[in-house]
Amino acid sequence: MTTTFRTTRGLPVIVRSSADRVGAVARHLVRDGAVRAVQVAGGSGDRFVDVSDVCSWGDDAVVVAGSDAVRDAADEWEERVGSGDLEMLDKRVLDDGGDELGSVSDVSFDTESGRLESLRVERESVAADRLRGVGSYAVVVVRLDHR
Amino acid sequence: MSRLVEATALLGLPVVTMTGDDVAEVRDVVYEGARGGLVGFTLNKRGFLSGSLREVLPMSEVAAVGRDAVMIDDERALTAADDAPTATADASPEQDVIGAPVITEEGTELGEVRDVVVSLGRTTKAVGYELGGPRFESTRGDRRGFIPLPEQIAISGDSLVVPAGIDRYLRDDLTGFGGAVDDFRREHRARDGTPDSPGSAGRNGAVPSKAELYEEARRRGVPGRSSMSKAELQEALERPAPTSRGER
Repeated sequence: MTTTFRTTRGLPVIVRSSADRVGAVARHLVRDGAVRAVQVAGGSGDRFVDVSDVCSWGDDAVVVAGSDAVRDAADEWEERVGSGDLEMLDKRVLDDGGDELGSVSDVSFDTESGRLESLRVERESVAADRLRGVGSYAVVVVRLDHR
Repeated sequence: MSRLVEATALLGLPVVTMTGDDVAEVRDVVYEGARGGLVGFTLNKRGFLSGSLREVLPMSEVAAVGRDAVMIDDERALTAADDAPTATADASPEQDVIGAPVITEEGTELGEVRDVVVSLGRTTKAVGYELGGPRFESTRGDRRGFIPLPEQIAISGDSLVVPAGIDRYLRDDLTGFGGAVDDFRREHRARDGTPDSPGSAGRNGAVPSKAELYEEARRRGVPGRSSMSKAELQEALERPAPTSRGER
C-alpha cells in the first residue's frame, strides 16, 4: 500500500495491546531512499517507531503492536531528524546542476518496505530514484537531462 | 544550452553538498585573466553577518554551478587556502580585471571591463567580458556591451589586449551573446588552425610556428597581424620594422 507524508503526519499512534495513544506522527525518517522510522511527538518527549514495527497505517491512526515499539533516538542522526533539520516536507529542491525546482509538497512511500516512491515538487512528480540527498538546506535530486 | 551569467551574479550563492547541506557561500569569483579561466571561489560562512571562511573552493572541486547553488560532492571539496592552487588562494589585486581598459591590437580602447561573463553548467568557464565606462558610452552610445573572451589574451594589471575586429562580436545583452562567443571562437580556431604550408618543419624545427611568428609580429607592432596567415606574417616580418612607430 502506498501512503504519503502529509496523509500520515499528525495521525495518532495507538498501541494495539493496550489501546494507549502514545503520541502523533511528527516526522518521517528517511535514509537511503526509504522511511526507516517515524518520530512520535507528544507524551513524554520525542520517541521513535521503526517502520517494521508498525502493524497498520490506517486512515485515522497508525497502530503498533506493543508499547516496547516506541523507543528513544538510536543515534545522532535520529536526533538530527528529530530537530527538524532533515525534514523533507516544504524543503527546497535543488537538482545536482544547482537549479532550484521548487519545494517538496508531499512524499509517497510504500507502507510495507518504507521505500520512497515519488516526491511531489510543485506540480511535478519526481521519481524517488532521482533522490540524491536530504540535508538541512535542500533535497537534492538528479537532473533529468543529466546523461 | 549553457547559460551565461555575469560573475557578480554568483556572489552570495550557497555552496551545497549533494547531501543537501549548505556549507558556505560564494564571497568572490577568482578569475585568472591571463589564462582566461575561472580558478575558483573564495567563501563566506553561511548565515547573516558571518565572516569569511579560510577555505577556498577550487574550480576542479565544483560539481556544477547552477542558477541557485554551487554544487559540490561533499565538504571535502573545500580546500585549505594553503593547499589550493595559488591563484585561488591568493586573489591579488593585480589579477583583478575589473576596471581594466580593453585595448585592441590596433591600439583602440573599447572601454573598461565591468564584469566577467561565465557559462554555467557541468563545466563553468569564463567566455567574455562586460564592457562599460565613459569611453565605451561615448563611442557606442550604450551603457554596456559584451565581447567574447579570446582563448589566449595578453593581460596586465593595467590593461587587456584583445584581437582587432572583436567589436564585430559585440552584443548589447547576454541574449544571443552565446552565439557570438561560438562564432568568435570558431573563427579564431579556423584561423589559427589553418594548415601550414607543406613542408613546414613543425614547432620543434627551425621554421617558427605561426604562434611564434605572431608573437614576434606583436612585439614589433606589425599592423593587421591578427588577420594574417602564416605566410603573410612571415613576409611582414621579413620587411624592415616600420619606422613610424618607434619602440619604447
